[in-house]
Amino acid sequence: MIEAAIEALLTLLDPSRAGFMVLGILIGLTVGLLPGLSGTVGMSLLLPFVFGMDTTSGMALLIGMVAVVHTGDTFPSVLLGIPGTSGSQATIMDGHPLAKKGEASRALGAAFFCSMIGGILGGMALYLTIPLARPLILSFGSPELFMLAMLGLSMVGILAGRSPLKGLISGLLGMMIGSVGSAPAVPEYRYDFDSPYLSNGIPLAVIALGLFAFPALVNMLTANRSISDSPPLSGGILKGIKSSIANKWLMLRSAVFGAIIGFIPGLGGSVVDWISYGVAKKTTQNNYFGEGDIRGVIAPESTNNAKEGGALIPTLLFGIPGSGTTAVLLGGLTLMGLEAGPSMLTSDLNVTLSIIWTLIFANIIGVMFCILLTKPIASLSFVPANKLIPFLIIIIILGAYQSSFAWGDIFIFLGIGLLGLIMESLDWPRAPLLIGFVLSLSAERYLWISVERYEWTWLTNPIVIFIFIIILFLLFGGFLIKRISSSIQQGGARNG
Amino acid sequence: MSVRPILAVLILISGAGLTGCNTQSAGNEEVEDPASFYEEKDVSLVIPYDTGGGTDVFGRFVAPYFGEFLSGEPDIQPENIPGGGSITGSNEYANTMEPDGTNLLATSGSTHIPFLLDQASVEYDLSKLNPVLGFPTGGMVYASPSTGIEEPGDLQEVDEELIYAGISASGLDLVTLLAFEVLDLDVEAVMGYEGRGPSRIAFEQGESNIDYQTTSAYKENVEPMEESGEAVPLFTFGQINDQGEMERDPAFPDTPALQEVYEEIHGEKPSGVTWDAYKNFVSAAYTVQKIIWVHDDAPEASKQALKNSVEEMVENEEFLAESEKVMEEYEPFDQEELQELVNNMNNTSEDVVEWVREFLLEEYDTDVEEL
Repeated sequence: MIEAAIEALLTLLDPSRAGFMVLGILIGLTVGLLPGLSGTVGMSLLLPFVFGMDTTSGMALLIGMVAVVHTGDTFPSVLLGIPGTSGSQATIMDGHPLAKKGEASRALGAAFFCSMIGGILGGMALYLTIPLARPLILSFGSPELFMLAMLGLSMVGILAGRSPLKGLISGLLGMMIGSVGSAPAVPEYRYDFDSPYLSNGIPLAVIALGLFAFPALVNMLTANRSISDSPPLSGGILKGIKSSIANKWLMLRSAVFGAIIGFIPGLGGSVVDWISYGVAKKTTQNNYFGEGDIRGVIAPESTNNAKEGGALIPTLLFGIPGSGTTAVLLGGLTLMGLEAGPSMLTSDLNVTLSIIWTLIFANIIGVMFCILLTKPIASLSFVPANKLIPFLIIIIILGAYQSSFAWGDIFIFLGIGLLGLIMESLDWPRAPLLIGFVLSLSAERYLWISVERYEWTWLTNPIVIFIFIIILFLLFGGFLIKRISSSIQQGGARNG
Repeated sequence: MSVRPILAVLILISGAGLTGCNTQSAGNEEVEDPASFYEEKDVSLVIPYDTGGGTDVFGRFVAPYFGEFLSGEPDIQPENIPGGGSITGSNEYANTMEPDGTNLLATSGSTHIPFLLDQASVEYDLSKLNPVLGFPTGGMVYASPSTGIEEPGDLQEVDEELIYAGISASGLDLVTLLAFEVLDLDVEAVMGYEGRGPSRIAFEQGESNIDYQTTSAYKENVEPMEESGEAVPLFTFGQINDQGEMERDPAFPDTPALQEVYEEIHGEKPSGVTWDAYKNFVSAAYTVQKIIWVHDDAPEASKQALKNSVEEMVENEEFLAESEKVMEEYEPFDQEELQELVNNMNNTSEDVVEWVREFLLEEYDTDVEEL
């Protein structure tokens, strides 16, 4: 396979193909940079052009774009506190407070570096898991997928901040909003009020922009000042990279985590950054997450780029898309005369390998572009709000509207936006709502299928029990460790 | 009070404007000939599905060929209007888009089924649309060796309960469920899977033990399992010809179609309302799975131009070679055959529809009235 990998590398580096990759990267960065536009939009934009291209060029274009969306989307998240894509809000939690302190470029530097490492690891994970992918994917049946959704939902408690009850209510509200539209396993529509718009469910981008972008806009307007008062620290990028290296284990762990979650089909990849953030928060000592802790940037940023490599495994090898983006990618493959499936490892292995190389190169090149762009873009945070807002409003409303090109998108955006504003001013956590929203469908779907298929015998599956233990550990582990360590300290003090 | 007269005047003026436009376009129609109809026109191809799905790929594949073969070489722009399992976009096409020949629609089996079932949310009438280009596809049912089935004839005596992983009873799964009904199989159908890919994984995991895949997915993903002994091919759904008779699927010439399996088991031809329902739905869902339409009240010149272009297209070597890659080994229908198949679909008898609605309600708790 190594020889084949080198051959694929040479094919990709052919100037015409490398050109397509760079074009893809530029488009991906732009899509990431504009709030509300996600990788799915980028894919849909590019799809018409891949028809008739040779597979390596077409894939270089598409994968180059996907690989860097989560690098480019860091800019708005850190600088404006507005999610660049619906899959990257967790960076806001600490990235934006850092920007307010004038440490925007340190946060960006750390984010870019982690994105690059995460992306490269994701690509390598794709390469290494190829022989293992089949048995691994086959070991996740509906009961296991249900438990993974539960694992994601257990983050609600961790991300709730000071009040677990508020977090729980927010999460439940999210699940309720997520149940709008056609039910996954029974033939009925819920809360659709006979409106065709609501029968499809509410688009994720509308919820994410409403919850996070709308309150951020209102706050910027009412404060009417620029985001940061303090002058930028020079050499911030390097400082950010140093911070990342100082936290290398967190970075590597989060990247591996992202690749694994991305790899499991059927689990919304769009909350993987929150899950990673939650786990980091739970397992990092002496943290001040939420108030500008650089580790709160490192964890989600390594994860969300690594996720893309992982998500390609089920897509390419089984033809099952793990996200909207990979669903469109499948269409792209068909347009180029390929069919996803086992042949991606045999007769079309060169395509798979060229995809891996594209992931790796795109992550490196994308970060280089971002670092070059940091200075001009970071100066945005010194622009007074009333000059920046009109521009942002247009982009964000367009971002919401592109979800289904219906008026409903804008109305729901405003409605959820008001909800987000109220929640923010009352200090209710909004991340749990988003997680509840994203996971509600898969939780319901897989619970339904598990019970229909196995009644309750699935509760004793080993993987189900294993995930259950992890959930318990995440929920109560920190508390226990604290008690144990304090009792050991006390014991030590007594003995000494 | 003073608003009303102004409003009335406004309505009058705009009404007059509209009538003016109408007469103008009607006047144009008389002089228009097919050869120049599409000159300097922009044509939009409505795809009522998300980007990247099968129908989207089909639409995007044929769009440039229409651009090439339509005289006047117009620009064909695919436009996705997803939602409601294709009902939203199809409704919009049928009811709000100008029937001026510059708007086309791409549909799939899962657009045709809700129309046949007369679902409440369907506001499009396929009999008021004119089919322009159509492609078939097929499907193959296979089982796990754990069921003890070695050949289709064994279906009546299985070692374990048959479990089928489906998406939704009123979608493409309906054909499979009807096939089970024709053979009078006792199959536990678990619905709610996200797509045919995940349901195939469920089969590989042992969560289900009888499954179907459409032709391209079968050839890519199930044939390797067939070779390694993990899957036993049973039967294809078959193809319905323009006489309403079932034939073998040309993509699987060596595999029996459902009808042959029935004959082997029962020693007679299948008949009755179940069989009629099955044939009607196989035809709508698979035999004419992908269709490009234009409004039936579009100008004659545009319909003629489209017809001419398709006649050229389906003879074109390059188109056929490319379509083999994208649409599997199936060939596009010629115009008369397509029209005949669509007519048969639109003439599905009330009894059959009523029977299927009852079947869905009783067996799968699916009330078509509410969909």
